[in-house]
Amino acid sequence: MILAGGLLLLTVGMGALLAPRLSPANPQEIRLKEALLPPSPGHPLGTDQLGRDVLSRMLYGARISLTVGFVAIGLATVLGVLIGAAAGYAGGWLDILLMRIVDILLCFPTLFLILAAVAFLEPGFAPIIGIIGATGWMGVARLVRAEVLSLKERDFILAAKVIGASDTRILGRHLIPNAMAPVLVSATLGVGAAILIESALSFLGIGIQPPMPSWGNILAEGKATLGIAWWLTLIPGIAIFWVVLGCNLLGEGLRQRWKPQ
Amino acid sequence: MSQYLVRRLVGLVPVFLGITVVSFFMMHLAPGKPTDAVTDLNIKISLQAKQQLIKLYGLDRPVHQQYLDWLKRTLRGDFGVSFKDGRPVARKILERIPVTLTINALALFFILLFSIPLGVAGAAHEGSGFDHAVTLFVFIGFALPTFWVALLGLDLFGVRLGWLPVSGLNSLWAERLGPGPWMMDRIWHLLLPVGVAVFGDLAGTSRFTRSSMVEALGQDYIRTARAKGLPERTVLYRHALRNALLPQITLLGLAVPGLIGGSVIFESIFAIPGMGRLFFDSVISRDYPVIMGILVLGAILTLLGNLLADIAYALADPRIRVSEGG
Repeated sequence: MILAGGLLLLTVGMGALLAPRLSPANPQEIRLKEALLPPSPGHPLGTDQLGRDVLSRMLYGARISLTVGFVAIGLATVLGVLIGAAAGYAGGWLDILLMRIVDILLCFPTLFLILAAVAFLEPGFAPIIGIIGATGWMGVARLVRAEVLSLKERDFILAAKVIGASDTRILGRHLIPNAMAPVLVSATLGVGAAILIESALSFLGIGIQPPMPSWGNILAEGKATLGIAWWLTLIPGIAIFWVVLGCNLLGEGLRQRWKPQ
Repeated sequence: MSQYLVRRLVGLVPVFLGITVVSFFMMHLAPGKPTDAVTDLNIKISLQAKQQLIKLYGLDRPVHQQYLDWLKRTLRGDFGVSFKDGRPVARKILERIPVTLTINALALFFILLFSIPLGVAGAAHEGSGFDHAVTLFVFIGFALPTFWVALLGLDLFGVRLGWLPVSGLNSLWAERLGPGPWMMDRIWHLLLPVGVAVFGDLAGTSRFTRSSMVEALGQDYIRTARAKGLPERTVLYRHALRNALLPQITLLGLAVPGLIGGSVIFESIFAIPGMGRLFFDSVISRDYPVIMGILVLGAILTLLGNLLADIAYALADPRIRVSEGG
């Protein structure tokens, strides 16, 4: 599972990394005379309604989609770890306060929170990352808090306290690193979920804005020509499926490997 | 039981207040004032709407007072009026809720109808070819973008085969039909959206049923049941499933926000006039009172879903009501 998931992600990652080398054309270049060409040697994945090369757009779109997924979840994970560790370690009123905030935020359907935030900010690359990150930390916080709560009574933590280690040292050196396994699992699964959200938002026209290519907006642009240009709908969908499957396999594989015996 | 209920209800009050605080302050903490957003970001909204907005939020007064006023009005069910057409927000939302709830309830029903046998069968034959097939299906279902499946379904069944309608809740001529044919027309229109919704969530639920079944089947009472020679069917469905379904109740409560949130995507794709579609349209036109109203209502529906799940759990499992502190 880890291997399969890793391979799926690796192929897309390489594609994104090497986009400038692998692309047969400029992803933004419009050639109306070559609009809606089916896949051919010159355009391996065909062209869109503006005559842009779909393979090039997919490769550059992979950069956008992967960046959104990883950076947004990175943000959410850092937030969640800090908040969860603070709540679990400090206990008392801080714990109650932080966990109540988590309870409250979890009541809002995530997509509603994200859409409401989109209504205030202009949709685009950075706002989407910020919004997905800011609405995705609650689960991680709960997870880390639970881990910290169970770890902090263990002997090695007591030992660290006895030799006079500071709170930051105990948290940073002992508690958080030991709580990381489930966090990494949830982050891996989270990247897939974030890519799904980004593509859904871009598909609805409120995510990444054209001409910047993202898999979601390539799909959205292909919607109008679904009957005559199947490749515009099929290819981005398969790419999203591919990456999300990769994340889920990797995350699930890691979960099984690290499962406490 | 009633004591448990009271305790749960009291516990909900701070969460409810928190929901209103978050909703209210989201509006105020957004970059700039809502009025800036109207003037700077959206030239489509008229000056009249801007003044309406300033009046609605009483922006010249201290924030806590604005919040209390807003809360008082909200508790009375007054969410203000829509910028778009001046109609009361509460009424606009209320007329959309039944559609969204119907679709979600139907989806939930079919999800359970399919996922429980799938999960049970997977767990009963753990490690078999069938189990692996179910697991594979689960991974595929998890990773498929629902809006893409919806799009492909629309193209295949709606356009290419022409079997199902592509949008709306009823045909244009539906008003002239009798109640029976009208109902058939409605069902015909709902097949595709409900089908896609079921497909989207089936994977997760089957998986969850499977893992709780595997756990239940490992218990001592299952060995006892098998040892006394009960038929495997009885062991599976009477003994194991009953216990495996308990955590499922909580899962259903937790699924509510996902389903409500997901309705935005479905209703946009299938042009269904529900709450999700209203929310999406309001986001596009920056109709803040409607956005705020749906945000609060969505959270309250989630809260209710969780409460119902907790109550159902307590009814089903006596250990909960006795032991849980609060």
